[in-house]
Amino acid sequence: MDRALIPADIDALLGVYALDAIDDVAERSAVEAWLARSPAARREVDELREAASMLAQTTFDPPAALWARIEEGLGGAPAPDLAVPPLRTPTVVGHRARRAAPGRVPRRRSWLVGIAAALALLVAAGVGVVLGREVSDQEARIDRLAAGVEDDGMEEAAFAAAVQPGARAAEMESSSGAVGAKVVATADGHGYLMVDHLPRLPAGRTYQLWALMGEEPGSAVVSVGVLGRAPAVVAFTTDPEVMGFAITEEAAPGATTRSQPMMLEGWLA
Amino acid sequence: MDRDDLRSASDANLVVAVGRFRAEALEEVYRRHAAVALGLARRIVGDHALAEEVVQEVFLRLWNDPERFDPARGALRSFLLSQVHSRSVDLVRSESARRSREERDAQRSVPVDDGLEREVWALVLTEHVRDALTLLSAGERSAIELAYFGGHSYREVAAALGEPEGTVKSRIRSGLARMRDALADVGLVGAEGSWTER
Repeated sequence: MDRALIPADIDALLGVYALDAIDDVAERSAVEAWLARSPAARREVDELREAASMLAQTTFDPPAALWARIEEGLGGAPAPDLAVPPLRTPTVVGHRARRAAPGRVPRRRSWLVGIAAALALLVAAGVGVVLGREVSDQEARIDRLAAGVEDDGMEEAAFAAAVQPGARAAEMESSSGAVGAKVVATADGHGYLMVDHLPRLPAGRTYQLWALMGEEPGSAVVSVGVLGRAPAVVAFTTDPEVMGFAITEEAAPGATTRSQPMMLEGWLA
Repeated sequence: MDRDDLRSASDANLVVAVGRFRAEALEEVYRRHAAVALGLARRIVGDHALAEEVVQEVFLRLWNDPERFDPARGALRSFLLSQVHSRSVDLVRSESARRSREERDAQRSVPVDDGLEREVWALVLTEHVRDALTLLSAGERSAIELAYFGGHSYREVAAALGEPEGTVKSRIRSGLARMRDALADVGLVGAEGSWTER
């Protein structure tokens, strides 16, 4: 590379960069520095790479020994013994039609639809799917990963939950009245938590979701799941008789009984 | 998530499970994508053993760094194939693989202009890809094939085709963009309709 590249030069390289066709280290570094600063350029490279990947249609059945070698290389990972409920990706037929015809939704559920819309926006920005009664030292790895996962199945399921007959919802507020999250619980004990504002916690800390089984002092408070350090949208199961939910900040990997004050609290209606 | 759940899980959820060190989730990703990954690696490096090494490395990298996959930036298939392509190109540009590459190039008898279309003709699912390719000029197809399947740099492509480097850069970019638009129109790429091999 004889001279410094200007943005127009670098843009002209995006196609060949997407095909790994730049062998000049300085040129490649210039493109990568530009990609780090330009979301539009990054998006273009992603799109061109995806198009290029469609050219690869020739398949070749790998020999059994190849997987065996890969499996051998997996050694050293912790045993997968997390008590984490399975990820769910239920199929919901017709949800788009319902979304397109809001007049068919009973009036008393209109605010649930609003929650679902907010959920859709959150999901579009990146869905987190972290839930469990225990989190091990894999917490950080799962946090990073799940925070970036966009899952259409989750979006569909959450939307469907919000408009199901018998679904109840709540805005979860802090003691000052600020809404930090919304929650939907269905009659059959499924629920979705949508976090609006919760600061990312430092390592070793986790948010935890609790089911409030009664409004009277002394009513049972049951752990629903550990949310990780930066939850976004979370699916969970709970007692269908639950009255409300609360979120606390706990030391990782979470607590079996609530030991910290409630940061957010909401009662289902 | 048991094995049946894994079979029906989305690619994105499989990667989350990989993040939880679920080896069977990685195995399911492998079941879905290893054949096309190996096909691409073999096409580029021209050597069975090297191609398997590439695929092994890419899947182990997914296991060790699953968070490098960002589903907002494209399908898992595209992510894995990008990794396979990049690593394969590194190999063919290395001295150790130069000989096999030369042998492979010498054996290639398919005309450049026809090769790319032939590559994708066989499978029904690739009908739209083939249609998209017809939108490209012969110059665009040649440049893309030499860079993508040949592992050549754009300067090498320019020399091989006897075209200015700027023309090659422009053709590759415009050709891929036109392909991408055509494939997005039929839902084969893009956030709403990324095709996932199951």
